[in-house]
This record gives sequence, C-alpha cells and structure tokens, in this order.
Amino acid sequence: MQKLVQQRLKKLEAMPKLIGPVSVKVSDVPTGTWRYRRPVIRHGDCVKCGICAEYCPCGVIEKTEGKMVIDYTYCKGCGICTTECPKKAIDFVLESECNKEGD
Amino acid sequence: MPELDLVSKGMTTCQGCAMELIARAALEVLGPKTITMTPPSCSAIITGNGDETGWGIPCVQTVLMSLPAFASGVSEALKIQGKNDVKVMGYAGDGGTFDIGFQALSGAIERGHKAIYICCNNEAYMNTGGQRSSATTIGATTKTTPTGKKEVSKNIDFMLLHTPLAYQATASVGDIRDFKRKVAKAAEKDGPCFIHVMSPCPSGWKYPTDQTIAIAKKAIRSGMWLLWERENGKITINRKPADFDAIPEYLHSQKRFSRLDDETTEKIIAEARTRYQTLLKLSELELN
Repeated sequence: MQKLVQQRLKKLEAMPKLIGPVSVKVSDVPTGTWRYRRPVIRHGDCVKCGICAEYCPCGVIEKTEGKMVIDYTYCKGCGICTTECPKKAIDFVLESECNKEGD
Repeated sequence: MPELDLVSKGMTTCQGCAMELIARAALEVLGPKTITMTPPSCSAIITGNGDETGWGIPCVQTVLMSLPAFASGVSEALKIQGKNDVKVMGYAGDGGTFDIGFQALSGAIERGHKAIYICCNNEAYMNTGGQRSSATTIGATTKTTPTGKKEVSKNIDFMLLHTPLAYQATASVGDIRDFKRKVAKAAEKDGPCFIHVMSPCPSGWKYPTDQTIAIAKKAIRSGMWLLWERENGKITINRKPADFDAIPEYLHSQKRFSRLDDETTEKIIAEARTRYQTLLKLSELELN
C-alpha cells in the first residue's frame, strides 16, 4: 500500500503545478446598485463597538482611521446594521433622498 | 478589483442573507489554509459559475448527495501528503444534509475523517424556490405545502448523538461570537465535526430583510433553537431558553406561519419544551 502511494506521489510531482481550480476570476458584482435604502452612520452617536461590522452579511463595514466606514459599492442595503446597532446610530435613508442632497 | 478577501464582497446572494455571514465568520476563524466544498445549493452562489468564484481559497463544487464523501477524499489525500495544517470545510444547506446527503454524511462520520461539516439550516429548499424539506417546521407554508406542513421536522442533532463525532454543536447567526468559538474548537479536533447553524432566509420565511439577526435572536430566546455542544461524551447547554411563551411572537414575525392555527401553535410549543427537557436529561448522562 505504502509503495503504491509513493509511486502515485512521484507521478503527481512530475505533473505541472496547478495554480488553482478552474476559476480564474473573483466574483465582483457591484451589488450596491440593488439598494433602494442606504445606511448612513451618525458619527457623533457612534461608539465604534463594531457590532455592525460583525453582523454585516456582506462584510462591507470596516473600521478605518478610528471610525466605521461603509463601502457603498457593495452594500446591498439589507438594513441589518440599522436594527443591530445598540446605539441606533445608523439611519436608513431612501436612496432617492440621498441623490437629491448630492452625497 | 477588490482586495482578495477569503470571501469576496461582490456576491449575488439575497439582501440580508445569513448564509453569506456564516461563510465569512467561519473563514475568519479557519484562515486561508482551508479547502472548502459546496453542494448545489444557495452556498453554490459563493463557489460561482463559469470562471468566477467568490471564495479566496480552493473550493470544490460537488454533487448534492455526496459532499461528505468528497470531504473524506480530500481529507485523506491531505493526510497522505502530510499536510496536517490544512482544514477541510464542507458547507451545505439543510436539503443536502437532512434529506439527500444524509447517507454520505453518516458514512463519512463513521469512517472518522478529519473534516468540519457546517450545515446552514434555512428550513426548506430555498435555492429552487422554497420547497419543503424535512427540516421545515410544522405549520410552515412552502411552495409544496401551501396550507402548512403537516409533519414534525426531523431532529438531526439527536439523530447524530449516536455517531462517533469528535465534536458536535448547534449554533445560530443570532450569536455569531458563539458560532466563531465553536468553529475554532472544531478546527483543533482530529476527527469529524458537525456544526448545525440556524440561518433565517428573508425571501423564504417572508420577513423584512433587516430582521434576519433579530429573528435568530428571538428563536434562541424562545427555545425554538437550542444552543449546545457535545464533546468527549458530554453535552453542554450553552444558553437556557428564557421563555417558551415567546414562541408565538417568533412565529408571527414571519409570513410563512400566517396560516397557523392555535392547535398547531400549541403543538410547536409543546414540542420545543419536550426537546429542551430531553436535552436536559441527556446533559446529565455520559454519552459516547
């Protein structure tokens, strides 16, 4: 049995090294276009506990330079962060109103 | 192009999908030295189609009935190559675990391969449009049970109590820190590990997308979902259900239970109570 394994391993070593499976691209769909309401953090009330980042299904909330930042390119606007925030410091604003204000 | 995460950000799962959160949390703990596999299910969205993939780690798209068999093969190959630091993670839904993949799962557990099997339970075949599975709660409306399911759901955790699992646990997205702790524990074991995670589905259970975590928390609080683990022949209950009378509140926050009558509600509450009492009795025993 061991001999057979050794033989097989030698055969494998002779083969060209596989870099990865058939996939060559990383899924990169701009899912932010699905959103009809967007979460906006009120930085004055935010205590930076990171619970929103922990529960964000898309992993788009990150702590950078001492404040929580949402990546709106991928945020689908599910609103989990707005309900889970213990300080209720995240507003759920209609996307149409955001465009009017120009941000 | 984003930075290469372990799970990519631009994924086409539904708004408020808990399955994506579970994948992210699991890989945060397991790290980049992991090989994962998914059956055709919602989790196959992460594995992707064509030349695209969402995982930043090696992944295999398996057939629906034999994900644990694939996992055992990969695990044995790694053992022969001496790569003991690489972990194998199976990531399936409830259809691929409770119904179709069950015989392969029991076989893989019996052979004792080192792998972590995560079952993300959304209580129906959600990827194909929400048909009933054996994990669906009694009384729930699905595409194939439009007047409410008549049968009680299968309790897979109790079924697997008699199998030689190195580690068995139930977890929920409502308590993601507890889930991460359980994955970390499973990663250290040298044997088959099974983690059963509750994953509410906004499109199938019919509730607003922002309520995903809130509903999972309600289920833990009311005792509809029990958090416990089995290790070295001992069952530990992680959290006591606070109030079984909160079950109607959990049920009525979802539209799939809109056809529920009082008799079925009573039945669900009684069943949840019995399940907890059985678990309490089992936790006093020495199991093997």
